[in-house]
Amino acid sequence: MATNDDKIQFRGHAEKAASQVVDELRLGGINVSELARQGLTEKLRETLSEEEKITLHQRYERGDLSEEVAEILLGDGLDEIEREREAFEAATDIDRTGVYRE
Amino acid sequence: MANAVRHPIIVDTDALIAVANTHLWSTVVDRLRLTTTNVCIQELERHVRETSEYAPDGSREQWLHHGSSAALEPFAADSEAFSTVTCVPRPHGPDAGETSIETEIAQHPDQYRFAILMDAHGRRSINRLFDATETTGQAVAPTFLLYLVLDEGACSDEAFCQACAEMLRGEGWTGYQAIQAAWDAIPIDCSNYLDDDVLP
Repeated sequence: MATNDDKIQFRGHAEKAASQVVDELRLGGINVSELARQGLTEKLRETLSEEEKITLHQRYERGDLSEEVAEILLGDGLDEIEREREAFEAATDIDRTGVYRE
Repeated sequence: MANAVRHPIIVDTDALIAVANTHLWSTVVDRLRLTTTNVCIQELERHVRETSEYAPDGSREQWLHHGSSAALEPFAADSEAFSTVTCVPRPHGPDAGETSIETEIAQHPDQYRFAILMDAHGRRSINRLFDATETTGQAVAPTFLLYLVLDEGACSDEAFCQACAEMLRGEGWTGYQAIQAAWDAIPIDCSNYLDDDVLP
């Protein structure tokens, strides 16, 4: 089983060559590790189905998933729920005259 | 078809479809006064036209067809409680319905207190608009319509929870976020009425 200290490695000769080409092209080079981290996050999010996102959020709510991991997987989904809750609460305080049928 | 009556709640196409697909829609129709735009009405009509009545159960196509047909009924029934305002200039494109709500609020900011939209980005830009016009208004997710009938005592806790679950099944992750937020914001425990697979 993977642990937090494991390096994430994959065989990618062509990808390595491609990143070297870009690295040489730029004066400051590129940070391949950072790009790989961002790429992995992006791809993980993209592969998740709607049902999987729901399952993951339920695990997070139960405390079975850390906030750090939930944020990687669900992106701003967590903030969205929080923003939505605040909007909902604010709306419940607004005057409702004329809202209901007599 | 359009008249000048502006009720304090304005609802966009996707929000109407989401709520009209729940069994609480008839209660919403009986109890609330809603306004939408001519652009949203045309989007609903287009969904009805372009999707099959006989699409497979549980498919997105069936969800669109059934929800749009049900959503159109009260607006077509010449009821005083359901009004359609004409949006000028008429927006075009895939977000036309949503944009029409924003345009209408920008032109009549003091007429609306609740804007109900399914899309989170749409809600955010309308909330910025409400803030900028210094009027009392809040853009909220479609679950708020269910909350309004619950809070008035027009439906039971169980019916509210069931309707949330129905919306969740049809709207996936987007609906889930709105429903979680509603459950967080109002003290209601749906665990007695719903299966674990939809509960937080």
